[in-house]
Parts: sequence; structure tokens; C-alpha cells
Amino acid sequence: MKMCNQTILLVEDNEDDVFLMKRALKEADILNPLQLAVHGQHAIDYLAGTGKYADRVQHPLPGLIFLDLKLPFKHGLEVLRWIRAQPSLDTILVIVLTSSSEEFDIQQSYHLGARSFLVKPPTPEMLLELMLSLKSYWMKFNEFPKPLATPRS
Amino acid sequence: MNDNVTLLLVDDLEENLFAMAALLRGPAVRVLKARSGEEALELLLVNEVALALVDVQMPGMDGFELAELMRGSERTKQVPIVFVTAGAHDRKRMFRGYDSGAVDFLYKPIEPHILTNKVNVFVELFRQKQALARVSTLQRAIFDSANFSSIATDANGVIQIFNVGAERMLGYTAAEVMNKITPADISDPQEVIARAKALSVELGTPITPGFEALVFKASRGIEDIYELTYIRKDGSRFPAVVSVTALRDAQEAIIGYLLIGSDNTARKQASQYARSLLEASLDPLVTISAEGKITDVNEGSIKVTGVAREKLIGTDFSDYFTEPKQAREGYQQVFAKGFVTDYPLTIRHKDGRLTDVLYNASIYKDVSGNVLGVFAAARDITARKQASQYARSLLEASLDPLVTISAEGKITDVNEGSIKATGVAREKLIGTDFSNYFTEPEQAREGYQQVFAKGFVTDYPLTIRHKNGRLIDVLYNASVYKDAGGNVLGVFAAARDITARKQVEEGLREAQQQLAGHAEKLEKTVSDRTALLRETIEQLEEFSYSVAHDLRAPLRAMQGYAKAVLKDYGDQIGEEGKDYLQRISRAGLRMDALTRDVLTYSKVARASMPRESVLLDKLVPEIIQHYPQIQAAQAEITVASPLLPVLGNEIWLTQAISNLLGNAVKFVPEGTTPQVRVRSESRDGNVRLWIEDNGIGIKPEYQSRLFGMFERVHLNEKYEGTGIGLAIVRKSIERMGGTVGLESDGETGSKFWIQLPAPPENLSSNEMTL
Repeated sequence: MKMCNQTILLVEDNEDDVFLMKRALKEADILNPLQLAVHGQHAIDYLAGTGKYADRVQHPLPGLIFLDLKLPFKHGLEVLRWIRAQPSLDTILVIVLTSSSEEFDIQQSYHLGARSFLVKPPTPEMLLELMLSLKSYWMKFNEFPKPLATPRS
Repeated sequence: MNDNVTLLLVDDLEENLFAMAALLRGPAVRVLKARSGEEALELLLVNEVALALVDVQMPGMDGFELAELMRGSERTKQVPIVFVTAGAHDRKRMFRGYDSGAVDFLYKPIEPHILTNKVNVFVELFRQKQALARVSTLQRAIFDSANFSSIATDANGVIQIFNVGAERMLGYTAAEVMNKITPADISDPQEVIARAKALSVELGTPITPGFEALVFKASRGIEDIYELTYIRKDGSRFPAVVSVTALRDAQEAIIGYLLIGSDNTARKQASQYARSLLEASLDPLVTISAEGKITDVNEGSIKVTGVAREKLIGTDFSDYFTEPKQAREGYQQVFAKGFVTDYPLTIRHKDGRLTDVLYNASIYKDVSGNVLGVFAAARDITARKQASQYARSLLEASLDPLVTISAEGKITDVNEGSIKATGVAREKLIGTDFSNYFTEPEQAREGYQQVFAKGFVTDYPLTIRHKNGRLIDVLYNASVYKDAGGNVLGVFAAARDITARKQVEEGLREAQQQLAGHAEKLEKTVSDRTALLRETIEQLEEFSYSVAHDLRAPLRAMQGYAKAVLKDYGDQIGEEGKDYLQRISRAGLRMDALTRDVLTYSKVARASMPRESVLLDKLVPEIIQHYPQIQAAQAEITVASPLLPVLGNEIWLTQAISNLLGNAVKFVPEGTTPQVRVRSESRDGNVRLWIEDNGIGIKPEYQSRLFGMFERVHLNEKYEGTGIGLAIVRKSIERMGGTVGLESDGETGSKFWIQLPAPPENLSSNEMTL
């Protein structure tokens, strides 16, 4: 199946980056529903469906996660490690989108199941360009497996 | 010698005596006056008289009677008599006068000038006679002397006179040698040959060994006294001192030679004996004259002063002491008292070294008892002091109990160790039986007896009993010790306290434990410090991680919102407003670049940088192909292939080379196509990679600053940059063990280079760790 209407989960604590990301997605015409988690634990809670996130109608499991690494409470790499430990979540496409290309971060991210590692571009134009290429590759051409199971659904 | 001539006037009349005495008295003429014949005889007994002027007519004994008496006595018969008489015409009287020994007559009244003239003739005659008598007496004495051999020869050396002394000394009679042999025939032939040789050299003319050698110098009028060995008739020899004189006739022609010799045996033996006595002593010995001058020294004196014998002799004795006054007082005391004993002085060597000595000195005399000088012997007590101190310090240096034991088994010396081991004071130990201080006295006795018998014992076990009852197990090592002559003086015994050794071992173990404890502590300190350091590094990395993330987020925001405003409200804010927003955006962009470069730089400083062989020939084209900042400039880049491989870290080398290439294409004048040439060269086991451009160049005065942090040598607007790129290049290359540099005149481009070690032959791409 294609990405089509699958939910995108943006894990990002910086609201400016959230603003710029939303703007870039919009300009790139990526119209998938967008859910936001503002720290690592928040992301885990969302994916685990704890508390209010048990409602998968309101908070559906995402097909794509944009994951920042430097996050409050739980680091992005911990989030990745947690996802990797959940067999039901292993088809979710995780793209690391962070500020710096630390060699250690890059290695760990891929090791823990990230499919792509992107550095946040310094200008909105470059971010838009990035989103456009993402859209054509991941959303237009890439085939995704159907999710095996959805917790509590 | 007394040259005075004595005249005797005999007259019964005082006035006649007075008048004649007045006429005759002179500077060398003494006048005796006698008023009678008897008085004249008395005077003649005690005075040698040159001439007697005798009045013929005197009461009592007249002149003739006096003359006859004088003729009868051996002492006075030679004294010429001049009669003074009134009657010249009285011939009979005159003849009687001559008969009785008169030589002349003077007639009254006396004519003064006749008197003086006549008397002068006699005075002169007397003087000549006296001189002649003196000489002949001497000559006879010389020739008759048994102490001198007088040998006279003719001009050819044939013996003409051979005196009594020569006969006695040489054993020949005069008849046996006269007109037969020369003095050379009775001299040591070897010495004659040696003398001829030496004289030939000295005088520069060939001299025949033989008689010529004995008299040659004298024949030339040179005073010549020398030592010579004469050979007696019986073949025995004796040393003689010979004085040679050439005998000449009135025309100064040599008619012969006189050789006067004296037997030198006794003197020679005496002086040799004295010298050998002097030299037998190692102590400094000197003889000193009454004036305080050194007259002889031995080797010891030369050593202690550092001054040669011939320089010592004749100088002041007192010169060689630290206290010259005291030295002077010393020998003066000897002359006064006859001797001094243990008189302390300090000799100063010419190199400044001092020797403490004790002088023992006494006067010495010739055979007749005349004091000739002082004989002084110094005993060097420095050496003695030092030697005994040295021996004692050796003894005391040992912690082991050491003793010396006499043949009778008595303790003769101990060290502190022995005092400690026994608890008995030194003076109470010395003189007591060695065996007293052991649990087994019999075994102790056997021990030292064994030493005297065998010369030594080793590890002989005994147990010392301390006076408080404590026992000390020891092992004795002992040997005999001897004087300089090899006579055994006693036993030297050293005890090794095994208890002490055990204690030492214990102490050592403790020390080792302490050491181990210290080492452990040190290790912990090191690991603590390391942990602290690691923590610091971690904090630093955390910091740079935060910089990378948190510092860049606001920059993106500035960018983003500025662009958003431009896009969404651009038409409402006018051109000026748009320009401002673009400036905000550009500033944000530059800050982002700065942040990134600072991060890179901080990584260069601490990143691990394993080295391997890097194939630049492959790497450089890849960089040119892939780095966007090089592509954008549309530069002409030529690579002088093949580039030599280097030893370095590929990741950081890529960073460095791309930085340099980026600069090469960036800093060109407007409108110029960047032309870059990359080449490599080998330099003493290193490889230098050159990146040469046709850019604006860097003036030499800025070149030293170029590789510093945040250093920019071009105006901002024209050539944008962070000023960190070259700092990264330098830091990374230096961390790889290389160097960087550039050549530029500031006008015709720059030639940057990096130099790294060439990889070892056998290393292709195996990793090496820095």
C-alpha cells in the first residue's frame, strides 16, 4: 500500500520548528493528518496508546514518524529503541530529523531502525526542497506493508 | 801575616836611643830600645829582630860581648849587627867587630841619611829573606805532607817528582815511578776515557784519552779540580780529588804539570752514608745552616714542598711553612738548646696543600766539635691522623660488632657495634678476654685460635651475651692482620648479627607493603583523575552537542520567520522592509555556518584520528567531484597525477583538502576563472601536497596569522567565510603528524601545502593508531 492518508507523527519539542515543518509540509502539499508529540515520553505514550491515546480514531498509529533526537525527558534514540522493541510497530517508517550530523547519532539511529537520517536545513527553502523529495520518494513511489496489527483496535 | 820589621837599638845613653829611634821609626818599622847588653838579650828572646844597632862602648857588657853572645845562640845568630862606634880609625876594634858577627859599622856622630839608608838596606834584606823562608817552609810542608800526593811531571807527563804523600797513598816508591810512567798510568782507565770524551764535547776539540785528558784544562790555563780514582801498586783503588796546575818557565812556556791529590775515601763514604740515611727516611729531612738556609734535603722534603732539590738548597728554611716566624724560632731554639722534639709546624706545598708535621731536630758538628748546622726531621702527622681516622671510621662505619684481638685473646680495639652488642663500655672491653662475652667461651677461644692458625675463619657461629642477658646470634668472619713487615699483629673479627638481618628483612617487607599501599593509592588517584577527566570530556561533548542542536534551532527560526514574513506579507512592507528581512536571513545563515565550523574545529581537537595509507590519487578527484562548494565555482582544476600516497586519516584529510580546494576557487578576483593545480612531491620520507591557485594571494605579513582561529585576511563582503576553515586544516594535519604552510607574494596566487609522512613500504591500508 502507499502512504496516501496515513497519519504522520511529528516528534518535536521546538514550536518554531513545528511551525516551519507544518508550513513546509503544507507548501509541499503533503496533506496527511499530522499528530504532534513534544517530547520522547510523549511519543512513546502516543505509540503505546496509553491514556487518551488509546483512542486510535482520534490518535491513529502513524505510518511515518519525523523524529527529533534532542528531546526533553526521553532522547530520540530511546524512543527509537523503544519502537524497535515493539514487534507491532516495526513497519512504521521512522525518519530522524535533527539539527546536527553527529557520527554517533547517525550510526545509532540506523542501528535502532531509522530508515533515514536528515539534518534540519537552515532555510525554509531548503526544508521545502527536502519535503518535496521526501514526498516523491516515500509517498509516491515507496510501497509499504500493511500494518500487522493495531493495539486495541 | 805580620809585615812589621823590628829593629833593636842598644845604647847606654837614653838620648842616643831617643834620637835614633826618632830617625828610624816608620809605618812598618818597630823600634825596640835596650840600655844594656843584658836587656838586649832579653828582648831578642821574645822578638824577631831584623837588625840590631849596637853601641860598642857600654858599661858592663860591651857591644862585642853582646855580639858574641848573639852568635852563640841559634835563635839570634842570624840577626845582623851594625856597630855604632866613635872611632872609625880604630882598625883593631873593627876587625874584632867583624869577627864577632858585625856586618857594618856606623860612626859617631851619626849622619841621619847614612843611618836610614843603611838600615833600609837591612830591612829590605830581612823582608826578602823572611818571604823566601815562608815560601820554602810551605813548599817543604806541601811536599812532605803525607796527606797530599804531589806529583810533578815534565811537559809530556813523565813523573819527575813523587812526594812522600804520593808514595804513601799509592804504594809506589818515588824511584819506581820517576822518569818511567805518567799519572794516567795510575788512574782508572775508564774514567780517563770518559773524561777525554766529556772534555772533547765541552771544549769542542778532540782530546786523547790519556795524560792529556788529565791536564788539558790546566794546559789552557783553566783552573781544574776533579775527582779521579787512583789505582795503587797493589791494584786497589781509591777516590781522590786532584788539583792540576801547569808549571811554566819565565817565558810562560809549559815545562810540566803538578798534580796534587787528596784521598777522598772517607769523605765520600761519610757523605754517602749520610745521604743514604737521609734518603732512607720517607719523612722530610733537611739540614739547615746557622743562617737558616737549607743546606741539604731528602726526597721526602721535595715531595712535601713540591720544590726541586736544587731550588730548596740555599733558600730560607722558614719559607716553606704557614708560620715562617715559628719555623725560624724552631731552628733558633735548636742552635740554642742543641735540639727540639715534636715541634709542630705546617708545611705548605707549592700547590697550596698543607701538611701538619712534628719536627725533631738537633745540631750536628764537625769532628772538632764545631756546630755545622741543624738536622731536622719532620714527621707527617696528617697521614698518621688520617690513617688512624680512616681506620677508625671504617671500623665505626660498620653496624656489625667489630673487634681486634691480640695473640693472647685480649680485645685490643672495638667499635660502637661491639659496645652495643655487649652493653659494655669501650674502655672496659679493651684489655679483657674476647671469650668472656659469649655463651660458649671455649668455642670463642677456639675460634680466634683457628684464625691465628689458618689466617682466617668464615661464618663462625657464636652467641654474644649482652650484660643485661639478651643473646645475639652472630656469624663471625675474621682474619689476621699484619704490620708492614708481614708480622701478625692480631686478629680482626667482624660479627654479623643475624637478629639484625632478620629485623632488616622484616623492615624490608614492611616497606614493600607500604610501597604497595602507596602504589594502590596512586592507582586510585590516577583512576579518580581519569574519571574526572572523562567526566569533563563528557561534559564538553554534551556542551558541543547542545551547541549543535540548541544553538541552531533559533537560527532556523530566524530564517524561517523572516522568509515567512517576506512570502506572506512582502507586498505590505515595502522594499526597505524586505531588505531588512533578507539581512536577518543572511545573518542567520552565516551564524549557522559559524556554529557548524566551530563544532568541526572542536571535533578535530578531540576526535580519534587513526592513521592509514591514504591514496591521494584517488581521494583528491573524489573530493573535486563531490564537494558542492568546488563545483559551484566552475573552476579549472588540474591534478598532476599520480599523486603520492600519504599516511593520514582519510575522513579528516578529506575535510582538510576540501577546505583548501574551496579556498582556492573562492579567493579569485572578480571575472577571473579559478585555476587550481594539485601536485605532490616527495621530501625525505614525507609527501607534500601542493594546491596552487591563481587567486588574490596572501601578503607575506598576514601569512603567519592565516591558520589561526577566526582569522580572516580579506574583507568580509567580497570573500565570505567563517575564518575557521584553515584552523581546521592545520589542526587536523598536525594531529596526523604533519605540517601545513603556504607560499604567496600576495599578488599572483597562493600555493598552499600540507605535508604528511609517506606510508611505510609494507603498509598498504593497515590501520595505525596515533
